[in-house]
Amino acid sequence: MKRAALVLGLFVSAAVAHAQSMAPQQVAYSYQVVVADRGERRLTDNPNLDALLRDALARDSLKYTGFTLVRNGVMLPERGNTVEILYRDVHYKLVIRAREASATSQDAVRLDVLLTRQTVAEGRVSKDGDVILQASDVNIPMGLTVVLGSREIDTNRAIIVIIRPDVCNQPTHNLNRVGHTPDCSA
Amino acid sequence: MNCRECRAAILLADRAELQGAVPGELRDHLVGCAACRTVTLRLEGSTEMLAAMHLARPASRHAVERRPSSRAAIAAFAAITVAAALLMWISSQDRMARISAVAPARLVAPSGVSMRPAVGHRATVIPSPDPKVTIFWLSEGGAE
Repeated sequence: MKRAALVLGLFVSAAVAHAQSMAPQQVAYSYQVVVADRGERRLTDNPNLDALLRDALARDSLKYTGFTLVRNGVMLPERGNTVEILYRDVHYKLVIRAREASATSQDAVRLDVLLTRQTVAEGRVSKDGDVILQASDVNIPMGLTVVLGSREIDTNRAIIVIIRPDVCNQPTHNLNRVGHTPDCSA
Repeated sequence: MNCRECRAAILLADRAELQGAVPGELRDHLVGCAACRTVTLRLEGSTEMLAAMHLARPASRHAVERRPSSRAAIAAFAAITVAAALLMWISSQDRMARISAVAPARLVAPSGVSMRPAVGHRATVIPSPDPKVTIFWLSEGGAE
């Protein structure tokens, strides 16, 4: 009798462990929106990101030397995929949408990233409609970071979207140089 | 999905998605929205036309290639082509070392991150000092 109970116990434990391993894992997207210009402003809260952007973008024809963090956070698909940002009379909208329903793979996620801009004058949104600043289909291996930059209004300013997907129930404490471990309970 | 989101999604959609073969928000919206369906059909029409032009090109080249009467002419043409390609490759090495690729379609970075910009945009990979970070720079205009 005891042996039967032991076998049953082991069976139940194995079944639970299997169910947990097969359960869909939540993916969170850490994002940062940064405006780059020809100035000297630094990302003092994130010196690693500042150094990386400075190193990569100050050369070639880009020559961006100043960086301002407009917004950062963690996007959880189940709680929405859009972030709206008002910065210096410009209304930005960032949409990060998982392209495939099975975007809980351990390996990579495929995302549609859309960033639009709308000018706000005297509290009213411009009638010109949304201007698409960035629209891309990105495939990112889990835990890696992608930086999507594009010229914004003129040759002196650019807008940069930084995204890193992470599996929520396996937060890595070995922080990447850019971004933060997502707090999925937030 | 509203019309604005749909128009943005159309720019990124695969042909199968444009044709409504892939279940999802885009297909659901297109089923119920005649205006967006019209936009999609126009885009599909342009893609068809481009495909036809692309298919027509090798055929005309083939016709030209059949014209030379001697093997020597063909060999000379091949040698000149190879030499020109080699010269272009050598002259572009320095630039390619700094900006690794410009592609009209899907751009794959050495890190494994890949991306496809929207229609009318192109992307370059900018070398990153951190191997875990991939930097793409997007700009207006088609592929170079």
